[in-house]
Amino acid sequence: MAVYCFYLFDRAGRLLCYREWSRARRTHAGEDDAKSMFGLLFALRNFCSKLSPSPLGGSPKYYITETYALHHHETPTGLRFLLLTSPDFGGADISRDLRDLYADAYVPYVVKNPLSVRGEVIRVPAFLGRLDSYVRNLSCF
Amino acid sequence: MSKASLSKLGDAAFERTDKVSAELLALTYGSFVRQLLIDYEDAEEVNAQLAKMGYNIGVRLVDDFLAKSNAPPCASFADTADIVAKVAFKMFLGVPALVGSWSSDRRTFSLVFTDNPLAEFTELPEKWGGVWYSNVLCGVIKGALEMVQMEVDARFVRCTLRGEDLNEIRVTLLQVLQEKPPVDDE
Amino acid sequence: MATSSGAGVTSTSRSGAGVGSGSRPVGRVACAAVINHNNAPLFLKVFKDAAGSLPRQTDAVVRMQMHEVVYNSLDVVEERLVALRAQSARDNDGFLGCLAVVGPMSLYGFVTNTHLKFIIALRSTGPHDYKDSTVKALFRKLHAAVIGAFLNPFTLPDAPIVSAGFEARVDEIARRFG
Repeated sequence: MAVYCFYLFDRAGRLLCYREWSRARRTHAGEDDAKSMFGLLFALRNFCSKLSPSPLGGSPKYYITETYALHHHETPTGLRFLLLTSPDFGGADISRDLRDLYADAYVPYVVKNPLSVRGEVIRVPAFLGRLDSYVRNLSCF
Repeated sequence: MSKASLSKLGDAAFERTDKVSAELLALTYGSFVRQLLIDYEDAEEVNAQLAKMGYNIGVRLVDDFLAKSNAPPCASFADTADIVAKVAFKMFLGVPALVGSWSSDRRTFSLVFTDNPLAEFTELPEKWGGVWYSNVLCGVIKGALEMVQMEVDARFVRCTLRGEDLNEIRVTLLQVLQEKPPVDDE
Repeated sequence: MATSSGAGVTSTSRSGAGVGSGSRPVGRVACAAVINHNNAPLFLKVFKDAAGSLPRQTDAVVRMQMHEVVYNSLDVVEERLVALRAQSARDNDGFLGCLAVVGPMSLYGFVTNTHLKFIIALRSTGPHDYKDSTVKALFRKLHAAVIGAFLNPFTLPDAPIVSAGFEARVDEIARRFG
């Protein structure tokens, strides 16, 4: 079991935070990687809400391939928290953990930090520290 | 979700929120508005500045609201109105608001409330009769709703500091913002 | 201890205030004043008696006279403050007692921890018409109203209190006192 990496995008697709733990292979370099990730998500989410029987839509929680799983949590404010793990993560609802990460780390350390600027890359050590310990405490780490 | 259970949600969110002395809030806000009046010497300009500051608060506050309130998702603008009035007002100001006076196209409603913790001790001098003292609230509503893809106009139409018996904010939905697909520059 | 019917200010001893008797005039509060630490007046209001009339003179004249009476009493306030400082902090509740009797009025004083001085003139027949506790309660109400006025962000420290709300509250306090 392993956690590969974490992405946080805002609604406009800006990459606010990227962290990796054990990622063996990169498909694209740096910025392209984030861009294709956001593009994929955008399409996936639109597709999901088109299929939804409810007018509220609903965004995907995770998808899984033979080599990895992508977990996703989207807030009503358009923030997207993503975590790539190995496919054997044990079926836990990691989307829920990402929601907790939003409520317990993003809101107090980024939103409530008057010096942080919306849409800029997050450099707040308190947030990055919490993110790291959050991920390391996941059962699938 | 019924209005009664939304009120309960508001009460619970209020209980969970950290509290600050009402006097500290009212005095801080009051000296702040007074300083703006000294600096700008113009009621309209001060109203605009208050709204702008409120906007900057709103775009942040909405995340705190979503993280803490457990408010259900909104399927319509009417749902949004109820959640703002019953949950958000209660959670941040300690007093719920009433939703009323819907326009026939269901795009404009009023938030009505009597107790206003921002203006608790304030008496507006006649000279500043044109000031909407609590205009920061309009900005907060505008900023917060914009972050959830609703562009609205919010303005005070009644204020107890002007001798009226309640406060009323008129909120109009201008448009629902659409998400833009990512630009493809390859 | 003397009671004077003239316009001059006569100091009375503080200790003498006891239970009063005799016919008290209604509309008992004649005047309430707030004075700051520099002895500058922040607020002064003259109340008509129960019959709704002021003595023959016009309002403005009465106001002027009242200003003078209050102003003269400030000397007594200073004396009392010296005495008050000698007391232990615990006994010091800011109440200065009956400062003077001026014609048909007794003047009472109160000082806050922030050195605001309140002077209230009560219509009386002598210095012993009112119990200390009654007057203290009146001052407490006035103090609460003044605090309310100072919490208004548009009230400036050391400037006269211009507030319809405050004036209405003081009116109400005077009316309730009888």
